[in-house]
Amino acid sequence: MSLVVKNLWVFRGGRTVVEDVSFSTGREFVLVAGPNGAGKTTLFLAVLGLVPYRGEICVEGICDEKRAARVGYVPQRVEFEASITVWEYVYLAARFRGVRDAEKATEEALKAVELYNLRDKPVAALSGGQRQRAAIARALAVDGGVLLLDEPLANVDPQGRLELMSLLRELKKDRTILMTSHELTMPSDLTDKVLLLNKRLIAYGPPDEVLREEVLSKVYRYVRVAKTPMGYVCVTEDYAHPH
Amino acid sequence: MRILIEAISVAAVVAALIHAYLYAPLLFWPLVSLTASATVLAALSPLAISRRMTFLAHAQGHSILTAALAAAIPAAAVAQGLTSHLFYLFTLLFVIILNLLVLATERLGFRKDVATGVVMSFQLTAAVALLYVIRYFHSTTLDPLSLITGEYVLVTWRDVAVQLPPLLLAAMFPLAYGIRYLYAAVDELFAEAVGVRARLLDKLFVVSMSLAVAGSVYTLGSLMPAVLLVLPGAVASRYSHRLTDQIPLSVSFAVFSAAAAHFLYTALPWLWPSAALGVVMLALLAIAPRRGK
Repeated sequence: MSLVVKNLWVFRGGRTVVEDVSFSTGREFVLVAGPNGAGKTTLFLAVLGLVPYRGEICVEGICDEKRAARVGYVPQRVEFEASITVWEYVYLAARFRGVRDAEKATEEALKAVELYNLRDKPVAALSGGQRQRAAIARALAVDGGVLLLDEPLANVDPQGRLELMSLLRELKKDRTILMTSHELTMPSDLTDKVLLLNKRLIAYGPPDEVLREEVLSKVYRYVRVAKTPMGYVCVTEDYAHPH
Repeated sequence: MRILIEAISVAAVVAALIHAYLYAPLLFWPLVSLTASATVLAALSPLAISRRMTFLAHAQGHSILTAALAAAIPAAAVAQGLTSHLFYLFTLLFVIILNLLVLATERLGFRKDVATGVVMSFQLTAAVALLYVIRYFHSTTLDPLSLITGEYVLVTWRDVAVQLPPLLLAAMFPLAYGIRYLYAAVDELFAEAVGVRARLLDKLFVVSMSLAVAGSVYTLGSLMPAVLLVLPGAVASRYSHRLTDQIPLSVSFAVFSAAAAHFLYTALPWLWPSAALGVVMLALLAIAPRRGK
């Protein structure tokens, strides 16, 4: 198994944010779902060792802080006002992580996301979709098999989404990918499993088992699910954030 | 572009040093001191800008004034001047304490700008009180104005020797961690995920800033270090969108400005060199290309 989480508890600011979560995943695409404040981002930060936690997290058999070197991470929000080119954005991360041939890793990552030709452009000049691809390239340049994507579809236009989905289909062939998203509408050929979180693990399994109204209604106030030939279309509304 | 700017800057400062050495020997060591101070402050400038610490950088004007005034009192009490090691030591100590006070105030739950403002308010209050203490007890040995404007023309090689250690120490931070710190400003969370300890670097940066302003106060006074912590980085960001260009360009513009300030001062003796340096930096900013082009 590529990522194993056992009895994970995370406390932040005197609150319990993640409560006794256990799951394991192999080379597959896992959609991490849940309402606002469910602990999705905190789960990622714990995997990266950036927040104190109780429990066990192992990446490819490595259970201490060295496991972070095997994880690529695309954060929820990235500052793009700074002066930085696409190449530097990816290359410097690889260099800081200590990737042996950082230049080659950067080149391969940028080619994988089809941004190599834009490597000398400032990141701030990229479109929303291109920025997300740059962030994914950065994660690819430092990753060792597990890729954590935190809300990569937010602020991306429909064309950018299609490009991202297509890229993720390619990447999941030889990686474990965990992706958080507020939207549960996902192509069925992309999503292998859905992890439904609301501080506790509510459900974890194939989309057919988790993306059901009776399961989702445990954490969402309003739920409608429809299965189409392309995938699932889910309409949900948080308890804490009704429209 | 970067190589051209660096070459012009080096040529300008070499010309200014030769000019000072041959035609205005009294200004040679002041120019060396001005260039060294401007170089180190400018190396820190992109870091202050990218890390959104320009308000804190500007607060250095208040920090260094308060610290220098506080240091001048024990120095004057033992009949030591503003170039004594004792004065530098006390200034450095006080400015580091005042700067770390901002981070401590932040931990009370204030945002960085509010925490900086709160500490600045304390510093201004203390500065006014200290100015009157100096006027009351040490009016014959100390001119408080020299703490604000600097003593440019009185700088000798001995003063440069005293200034260099704190300036060199301050330069260590941008040399060793400059790129990492700039990268942390782009994306702190990701930077931490790849092993950049942004919070620790914040503290080291504040200490480096303190060393730089303390090392340059005798030449630049208490106001201009704050300007040099902001303007060179702002100018550099207009000339290149490469992260790795920011520090070299910032230093190049500051070095060029120091050289230009020397020539301006020799031509217009009423224009104090540190102010002339600020004028040149502002002119460079005004003629800079628009960002991203």
